[in-house]
Amino acid sequence: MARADPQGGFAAQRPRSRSPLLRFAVIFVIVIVVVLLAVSALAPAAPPASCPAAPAPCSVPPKPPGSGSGAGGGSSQSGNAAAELVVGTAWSSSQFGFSFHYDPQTWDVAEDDPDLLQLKSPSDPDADREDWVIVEGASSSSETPDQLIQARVASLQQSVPDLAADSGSYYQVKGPEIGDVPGIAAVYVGTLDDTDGTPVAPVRYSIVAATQGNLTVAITVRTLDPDSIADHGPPALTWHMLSRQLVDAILEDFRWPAG
Amino acid sequence: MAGRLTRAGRRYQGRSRGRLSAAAVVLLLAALSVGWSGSQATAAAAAPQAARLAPPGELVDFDADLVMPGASQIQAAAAAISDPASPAYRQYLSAAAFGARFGLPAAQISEAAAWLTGHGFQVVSQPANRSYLGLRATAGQLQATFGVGLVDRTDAAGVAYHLPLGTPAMPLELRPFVRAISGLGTSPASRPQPRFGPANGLHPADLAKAYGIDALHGQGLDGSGQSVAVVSFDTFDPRDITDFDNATGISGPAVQSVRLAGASKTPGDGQDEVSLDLETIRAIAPKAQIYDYEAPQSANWSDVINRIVEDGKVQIVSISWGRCEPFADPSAGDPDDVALASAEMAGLSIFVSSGDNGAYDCLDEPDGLARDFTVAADYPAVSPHVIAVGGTYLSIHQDGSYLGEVAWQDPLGQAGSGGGLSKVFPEPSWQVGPGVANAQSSGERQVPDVAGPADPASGMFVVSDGEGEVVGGTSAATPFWAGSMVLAQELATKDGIGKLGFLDPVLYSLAAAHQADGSLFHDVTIGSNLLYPAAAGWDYATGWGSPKLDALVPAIVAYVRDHPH
Repeated sequence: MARADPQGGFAAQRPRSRSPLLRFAVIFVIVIVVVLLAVSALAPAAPPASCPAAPAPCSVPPKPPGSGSGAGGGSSQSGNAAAELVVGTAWSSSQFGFSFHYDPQTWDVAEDDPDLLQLKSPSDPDADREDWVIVEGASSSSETPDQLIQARVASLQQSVPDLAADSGSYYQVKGPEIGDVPGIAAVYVGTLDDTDGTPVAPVRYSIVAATQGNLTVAITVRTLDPDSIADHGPPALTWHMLSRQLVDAILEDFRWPAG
Repeated sequence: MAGRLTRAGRRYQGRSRGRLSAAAVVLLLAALSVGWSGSQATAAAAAPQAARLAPPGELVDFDADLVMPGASQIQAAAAAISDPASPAYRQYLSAAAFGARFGLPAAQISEAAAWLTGHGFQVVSQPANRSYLGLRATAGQLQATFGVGLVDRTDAAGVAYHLPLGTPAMPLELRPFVRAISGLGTSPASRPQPRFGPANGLHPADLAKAYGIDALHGQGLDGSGQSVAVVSFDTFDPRDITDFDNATGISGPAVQSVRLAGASKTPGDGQDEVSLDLETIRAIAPKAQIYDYEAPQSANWSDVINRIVEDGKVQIVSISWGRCEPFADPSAGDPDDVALASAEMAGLSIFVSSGDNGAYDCLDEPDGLARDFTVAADYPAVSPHVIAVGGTYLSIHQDGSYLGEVAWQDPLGQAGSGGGLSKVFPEPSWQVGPGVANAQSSGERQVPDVAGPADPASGMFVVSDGEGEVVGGTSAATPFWAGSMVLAQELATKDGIGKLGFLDPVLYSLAAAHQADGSLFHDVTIGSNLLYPAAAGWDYATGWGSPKLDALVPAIVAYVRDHPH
């Protein structure tokens, strides 16, 4: 690495006959410039770009984990002031201050409120999903995680009258957490009716809720027609499980408000 | 980002997140399909067929597990080789020496083989560690000699296999030499463990920056002169390796396939796993010679491990396949366990993925049609003779440098870092340190030992089947560790230290000594594996955590140098 010599540079550019004030100002400027040059030269080389040389696709490395109970995880290297690498679209609740990123190619915004964001599967016919996810907050003084789940279930039952707790074990949620904060989970099943009341599709709702400080959060994912691709494999291959996995990215990225 | 062609007829698509979403669906389905059916699955799912008795003329391969008079001494002998206080420290045993020490005398094995040959059995293999005789016979001969029939079945994916009808009866003449007949069930023994993620993935430069590999590369450590083995129950397309090299700007010797009898020569459903393993090692130690040991899905672990040990080409092995311990049904002293012990005593370090179902490793058993939430660990990761690798979710700064890690778990997707306790294998004597003795400890082997990036959201960039993909799982973390330890082996070679030997005791010693200062490992303390939380020190979700390789690699070499024989 080339290294600047501040002594030579300073001496060569020193002015000769000037007023003391001007001389001081010129010297000060020169000192600053030389110091900056020296610092620049002594600084480590710029890190190589994450993106490899053509023809490789540009890497977009992963987003950071949620920072709810300790930003950044277990440990971090000191002395690195670089910002977190994040990908996706950021959303934050203007009412409660929580935030997360979502993939705009995976989800379209269906409803955007101060306390709630609803995302739905895109209308891309190739996607062939009709699922949605609701991320909602409430004051922990008024809603516990269980109460927030029950409130969501009550709301859902208006459109899915036969909604009931899933008695099967296949889709149970182990280790529920939101933004690294442990929570609770529940799974409900029912039948979605057409406008004329004709049952058209089985529907399943998986809900994870957690609380920290003054905030309780519930994340509800709705999946339709869990058996739609059963012919191609075991139930693990259903769109239902796929959508749940996509929502895991939101659970991981979720950031609780500071304090 | 639009797709593009990098070679005739093969589409290599660099995906933006937008394109990935739909593609990820397909890839995820493919991954799950692999995990469900094994590499012999046909593309189209087939309905389960009725079982039928195997016809008498059907050829069957199986094993006669030999009596090993020294079996009870193996565990202690293996531990002694890693114990600096033992006279046996670093006194590695070849497979032949292992067999001579713990197995039957050669004359008795010959006597058993002669009896079997005389009864129409063909001896097709005989590993040097004297743990079994590989046999071939017809179903009729099997019935006549051992009194056991076979039933042919086809699983939900259309994979044909057979199972024994009852327990073989041992003829009196064989009882002094043969302790069991095994290998009569040929349902897929192990599953690959890749998972696919929605990001565009960690490239070699990202890995190097995040884990201190760039500092090692800067010292000239790139795998030159080293070799490493990957165990695969499938194969790969060499053009994918070339594309990966081109995409990431690295180069190295061509991967060499070592095919066991019956191994497929054309990539199957497990090729994503193979590509992931090979390319991840290549990303870290590009100049190392990689040997891909390819076995048929029906092969036993001992078949491929014995081959690696006897070939003597490598000291580091990467295995990203496994099955939950209750279904793998291992036992101490069985041929697979003997093979792994033999590898340890030969000075090999075998890194094995700890599984992708968190603490519930049997979730997909037996066939993915139901969910088994039994708390269980994965085999062979849970063997005390290997280094079990768990998973994390890595976050990085915009310049690629390390930011933090949490234990990998996807609660809704029912996935996460495999970890827990064995129900078969005892805790090895060297498994000690802060956090190892805990409320769940039972005296059994605890896993994982270490961890690396595994969450599909921080998965590896991989080229497989002509496409750029992002693949995660402990399948990714395992070759990450294996490739990293190739660099340690290279440094040891340069320093004149020689063979590093089985590294798990060294890792525990170093991790325990430096747990407080955090100088060698990123101690992951956040998250869980669907059951067990990450915690300071060792834990069931991430073991000791992920490596700070710029410090850990020289520390390993220094440890071995400072503890000479």
